[in-house]
Amino acid sequence: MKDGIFLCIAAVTVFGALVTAFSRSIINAALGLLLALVAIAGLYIFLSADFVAVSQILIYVGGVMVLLLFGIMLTSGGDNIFSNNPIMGAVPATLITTIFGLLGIYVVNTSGLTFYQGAYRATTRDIGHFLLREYILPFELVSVLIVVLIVGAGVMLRKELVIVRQAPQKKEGKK
Amino acid sequence: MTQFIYMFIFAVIYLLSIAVAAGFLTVVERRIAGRMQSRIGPNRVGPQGIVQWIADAVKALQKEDIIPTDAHSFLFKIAPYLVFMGVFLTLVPIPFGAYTLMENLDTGIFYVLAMASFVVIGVMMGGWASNNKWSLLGGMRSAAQMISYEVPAALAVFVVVVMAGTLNFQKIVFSQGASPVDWYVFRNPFAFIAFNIFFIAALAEGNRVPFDIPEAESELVSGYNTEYSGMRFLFFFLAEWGNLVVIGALVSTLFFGGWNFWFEYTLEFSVPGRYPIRFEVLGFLWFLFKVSIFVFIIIWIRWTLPRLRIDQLMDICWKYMVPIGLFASIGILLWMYFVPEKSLADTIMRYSMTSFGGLTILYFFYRVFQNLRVTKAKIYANPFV
Repeated sequence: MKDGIFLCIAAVTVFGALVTAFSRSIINAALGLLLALVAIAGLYIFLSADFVAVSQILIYVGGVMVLLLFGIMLTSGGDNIFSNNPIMGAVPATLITTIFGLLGIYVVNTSGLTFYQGAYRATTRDIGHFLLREYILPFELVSVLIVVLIVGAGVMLRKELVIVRQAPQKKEGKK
Repeated sequence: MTQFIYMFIFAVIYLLSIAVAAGFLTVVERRIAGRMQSRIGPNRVGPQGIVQWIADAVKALQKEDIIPTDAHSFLFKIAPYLVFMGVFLTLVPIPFGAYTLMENLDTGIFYVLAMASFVVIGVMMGGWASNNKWSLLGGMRSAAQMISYEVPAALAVFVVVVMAGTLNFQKIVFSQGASPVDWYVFRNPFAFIAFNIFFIAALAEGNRVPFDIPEAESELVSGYNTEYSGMRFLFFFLAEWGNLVVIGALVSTLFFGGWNFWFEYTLEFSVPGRYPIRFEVLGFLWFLFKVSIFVFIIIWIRWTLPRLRIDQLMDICWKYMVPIGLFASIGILLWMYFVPEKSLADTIMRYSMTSFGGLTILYFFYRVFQNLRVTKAKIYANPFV
């Protein structure tokens, strides 16, 4: 039963990724990405990483996908939105996929990584303890980085105070 | 295998109860609106119009399912389900009693914040797929509003998480007591600020008045749901009224002690057999009472306040609520550090905050009755017209 559910989620992930890669319509590609990201959250739950799964949904569905959809829906890319996703870069794509696939297989085979076999266990408490005790410095550095990013975005979006002096309008004389 | 069957059965029970609650709330809201506008409201179907929602549902089911020719039909079809799913999934970790809950998730409130993002995606999809400028504008406004107001809501939740030291709802309930003195809302001023921010932000995320710009009937012809008809249209509204229950449940769990009844929940009761069933039922009813008070307040706000403009909405979020939320979240850290629990200052602050809250409510009723006396208004106190 558990294996069956795992296979279903894995199949959905692969399906979503394939739609993203091969769809001619950019909106379908975005939705395939959405499907793949949600299904990856399901895979995290199978690896007993509930906190990571929820973070995945919050960040990718709530943040990245919303931004992506904003970008797609507010711009009219090309003439027809259903066939404006050109399949280009097939050669680099094949190259990258092959290299990273082989690398992944190599890493899994040599490092002795195994799938998590034990019973499901909540991880929130451990994550909190580790973040605020052993890894406090990286955690704080990341938060400082994020604060800098937010302030920077605010500064960049701020409107400059420009005083526009309008030239006095000339009345057009009758010819 | 039996576990999965039980999960399925409980999911169906939850789904049915949220649908019934949302349907019932439509009637309640229309009756309250009627009373506030000096008219009667629906009172024909059943005693006091109480089964009006079943008639509405039957009518909507019989209607033709219209999909515009130029709409993206797949997205158009699934958008209402995504919105409803986002609201329904948030109910999973909310405790209705010591044992009446779907799953005691350790990620708790974080999970609730994450699941709300499905609503954003669904609303945007519905707006875009309708192939209608008004719908697109409504969907965009709605998405912008929801992701903006997630920030102050998360800051307010942070205050509670710091005080409880956990994300788990059940532990948040345990760490508050049964009496108002132990509720988080009256613990200290920062928690009180956080409660106000969370309530306002939840209203905005639920697209309720005064933040119902995405559905502005007069300017956007109802926004992202303009092109929808029949049952798909109703799904958006099921989600909206289901969200009322979710907001009420979240506020009463996070700030008002949840289901915790008049006695202290001790370790003795944590063994399932030792916990008397009548306490479970009473706790459930107590929780429902709190939830219905908040639902009533939300409906009351809806029929009292006018709608905000889009720039005012964003100003309120980014220029007022986010700074105030940051102030509260820094203040609570200092408070937790300098004022240990059960110290003298903590006790004094609790009791003074509680009496301040109680006096505010009493003063409100005093003003209401004084106004009635001064204007010599005739009171129609009977709600059953």
